[in-house]
Amino acid sequence: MKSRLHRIEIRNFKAFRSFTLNLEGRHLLVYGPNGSGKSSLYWALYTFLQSARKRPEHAIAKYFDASNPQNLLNIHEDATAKPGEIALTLRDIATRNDTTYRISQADHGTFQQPAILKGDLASDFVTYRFFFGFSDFKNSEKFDLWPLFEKEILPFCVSTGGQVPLDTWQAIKSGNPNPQNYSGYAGTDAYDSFKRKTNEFAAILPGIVDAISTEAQRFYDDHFSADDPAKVTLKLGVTTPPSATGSNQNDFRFTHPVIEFGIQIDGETIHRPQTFLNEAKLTQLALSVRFAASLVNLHESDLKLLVLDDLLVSLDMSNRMKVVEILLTEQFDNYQKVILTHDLGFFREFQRLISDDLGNWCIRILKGNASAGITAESNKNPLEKARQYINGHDLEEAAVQLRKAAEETAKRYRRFAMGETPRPGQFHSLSEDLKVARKHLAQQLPMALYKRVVAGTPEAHRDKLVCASDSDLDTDTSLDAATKGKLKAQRRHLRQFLSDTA
Amino acid sequence: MALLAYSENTGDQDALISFLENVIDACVFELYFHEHMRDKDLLFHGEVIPLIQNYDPEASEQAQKAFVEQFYKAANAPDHPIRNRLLRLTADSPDLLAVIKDNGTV
Repeated sequence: MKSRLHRIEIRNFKAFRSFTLNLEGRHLLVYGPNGSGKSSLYWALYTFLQSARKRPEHAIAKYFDASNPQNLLNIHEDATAKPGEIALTLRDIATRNDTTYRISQADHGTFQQPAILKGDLASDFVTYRFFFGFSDFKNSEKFDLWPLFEKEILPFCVSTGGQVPLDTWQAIKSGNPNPQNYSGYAGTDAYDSFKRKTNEFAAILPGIVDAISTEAQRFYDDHFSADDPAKVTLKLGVTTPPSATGSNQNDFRFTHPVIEFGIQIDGETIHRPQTFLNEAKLTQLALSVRFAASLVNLHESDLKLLVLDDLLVSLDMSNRMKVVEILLTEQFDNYQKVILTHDLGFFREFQRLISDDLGNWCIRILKGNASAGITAESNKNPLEKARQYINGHDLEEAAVQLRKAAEETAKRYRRFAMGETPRPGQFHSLSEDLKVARKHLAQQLPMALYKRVVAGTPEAHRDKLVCASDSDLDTDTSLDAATKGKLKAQRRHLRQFLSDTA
Repeated sequence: MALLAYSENTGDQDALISFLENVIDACVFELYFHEHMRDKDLLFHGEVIPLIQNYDPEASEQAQKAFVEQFYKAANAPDHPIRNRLLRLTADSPDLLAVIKDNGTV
């Protein structure tokens, strides 16, 4: 990868009044409660990338035009004093040169820019909605993924024919599906245009779906098949292509595409996957399909973002941690990941998982709201927070942070000393981590004792390290008889240890 | 199952045919615009030739079909240069190849 997203600047767009985020080429992990601007960040990146192929006369200016009902300006901001703008800065890794691209009502600097066009073809935006939709089919329903595909995958699909599938589909949707209302040439033109676009879409859709289907099987086999008692075969296919039939305007008819999802287990067809499979397995299949759609996108691009907007809220904990584990594998190395979450527990757990790679991550907390303004604050570690609370005389909160610091330190020590990485979903209490640390330290003690005390003492003098007589204990009036007995026994052990070592 | 039977007979064939058409289009573009495509790292002949050099036009129809399917699987793999160059063909040449593609003529 030659370029990375270095800086995001957003002015007067959705929840943002004026917002800057310096990623410096790193992956981005963002926590923000509802209303703090996560989705606005998602839409800013999405709108920006798609702008490269939107013709200037059509699509971009309207989002920043206060007089246009489709504008996406911040409702609390004055568009005259502060016009809306999204600016992304890419930094060339080799030369460290920055290039800033902007979109606003007046500036469409991304149009036909190969770097942004390819970034759009290479990037993907994934939300929880796909996974909710995937497991929401009723028993009586055909498992037709088209409605879900149209909303959650098609906008990010690529075609080897060079067409933009979403644009072709939108041209069909914005056309008149039954142009017999037009008379004369107008009707003929609308009829021909609609039919041509439909045929074009029907030609490119199977290629897209087939590539995703093949990759989804590979993804499933790599990540989820290990515990399966039998081979799971999955398949997506366009079983009903979109069609515009009829030889004239009077019998014209449009048919929506159908993308069926099929499963076989050990060669046996599962006719109702939504009923037969449990929630966790359905989720694994959905993840395979959705991430396959990402992985078949363009690989050869400087800019390649994977933006996940609260993706994991729809998943159970075992699949949630599995997804994180997958995202951190080499398979997703060439993506610059942007992970947005409103789940504080997940935010903290994710930080723990990347604690060995923190240098490659920019971690931010969104604070504020659309009215007051939103800022991205760096995430202080618990010790820094404890110090801040102590300075503010909030001892209770300082204690909570100190406890967290102790937990993190014990966890890190356990990983470092034992070379042990917890499995996804595996948690240890502070006392467990401390016990492991104490045991490990205790095992190290004899060698440290030998090096520091015994090895530095001539062999002939080693018996002098512990007093030969216990008379000092006998005459010590501050000790009771039981304590004196214990200490004498411990001295015996120590003498024995020193003579063994010698 | 209808879907799996369908895919073996018809569905996947549509995808394959469409992909082959796109590869052939790109190879024809290269005959006309070799220099332009070389500058954009969009050359195809060098990637396609090794994959088809063992093609036997005298082989049985079934063998030829299997050969073409094998070509499709290899060249359309997510990280294969042929697939990736096809995907970025119009993005890297918005003023020439994208215009030709859009107009549907070479």
